[in-house]
Amino acid sequence: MNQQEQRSISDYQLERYLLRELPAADLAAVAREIAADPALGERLAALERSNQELHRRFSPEWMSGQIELKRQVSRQRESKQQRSGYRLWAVPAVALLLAVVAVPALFDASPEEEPQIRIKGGGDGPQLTIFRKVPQGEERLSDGALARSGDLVQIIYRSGGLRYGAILSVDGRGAVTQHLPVAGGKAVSLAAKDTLDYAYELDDAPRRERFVFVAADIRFDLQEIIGQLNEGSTLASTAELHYFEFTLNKPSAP
Amino acid sequence: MNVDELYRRYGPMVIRRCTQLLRDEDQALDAAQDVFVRLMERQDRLKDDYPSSLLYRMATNLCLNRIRDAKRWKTTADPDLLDQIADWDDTEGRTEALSVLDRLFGRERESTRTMAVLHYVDGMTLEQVANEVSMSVSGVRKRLRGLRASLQELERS
Repeated sequence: MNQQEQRSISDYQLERYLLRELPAADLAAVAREIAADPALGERLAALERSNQELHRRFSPEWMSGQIELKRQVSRQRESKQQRSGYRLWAVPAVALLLAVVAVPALFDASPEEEPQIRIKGGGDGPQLTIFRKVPQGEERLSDGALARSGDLVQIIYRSGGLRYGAILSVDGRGAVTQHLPVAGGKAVSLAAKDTLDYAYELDDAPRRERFVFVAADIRFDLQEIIGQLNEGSTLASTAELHYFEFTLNKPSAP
Repeated sequence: MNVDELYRRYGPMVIRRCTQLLRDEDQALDAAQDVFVRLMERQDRLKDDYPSSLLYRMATNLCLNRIRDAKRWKTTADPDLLDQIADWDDTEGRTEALSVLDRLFGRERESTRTMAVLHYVDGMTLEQVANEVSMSVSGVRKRLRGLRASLQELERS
């Protein structure tokens, strides 16, 4: 018998009581039990305190943003899967055509369609490359380039042969955003080179947007790194953690 | 309801549920976000149900999948009841969910594993579980029978 079985009102019922999402008769019954049992009243109060604490630590604005990002990633992944299904069908057809007419051809794969695993190592360490969407296509930005609110940027990383990594950014207001992974507190497995699943629109935060790529051969926690970024600290590579930074500057206010 | 409103109202409950099952706050936060992603993709499911009830069951089912997936990578086996339930191959549930009647009436059957957690882990009575998943008590009992036999077999081995 577990702890819950010994309780007359389960946590689940109490959650729904707090939300007022129980049938009327059950609401009344739980209310009577709470009135008669101080311990039950304390469990309800603990839930209310937990609600406030969770909303404080994970604000609705932040969570909504994370959920929306995941939806975008999910949609893009589905779209990629649909495209890859088409390409699987297309390959034999093209091969047959080539065999018949013996015409050499060039396959111009876009970066996102290239194989994910390439050269292991390379000796250059982890690197970020950032592209900005422009009317004619994409423009590769250099470290320290000028960027504006509303610019849509796409991040590409090279692992430098390291196995795990995370990409974060901190804006001129000190707000830290996770780009890889978009949620969760640990580094994720890296491909040798990959393009993040979504583009990122720069907001109106002043001065700069500083992107940080952290990579290592161990799966590290992000909490301490996020703390350092919040404090505006400079990150120095260690024997285990390798940092690569890329800053986009914002124009000064007139 | 948009995602912001849904999270404000139900987010803490979902995070608590995921934390209770996954026992890791980072994973729980990630799982809770996935619950809301799925909900936004299937908002039609909100029509005929208390949202809290639906979200609680969605969170339970999603966490069970994660526990099962994580176990595949573990090098040491120390299965507790939740692990065993998560590992349960819900063949019976899937088969029933694909039945002609279910498709005709557009119903979605509840995962047997989710029912098992509500009963064996959360301590709900069969009547409460039946009420929660809109099934008869005998239906719930029948769905749990295979799982119970499987768990007993595991305990004996």
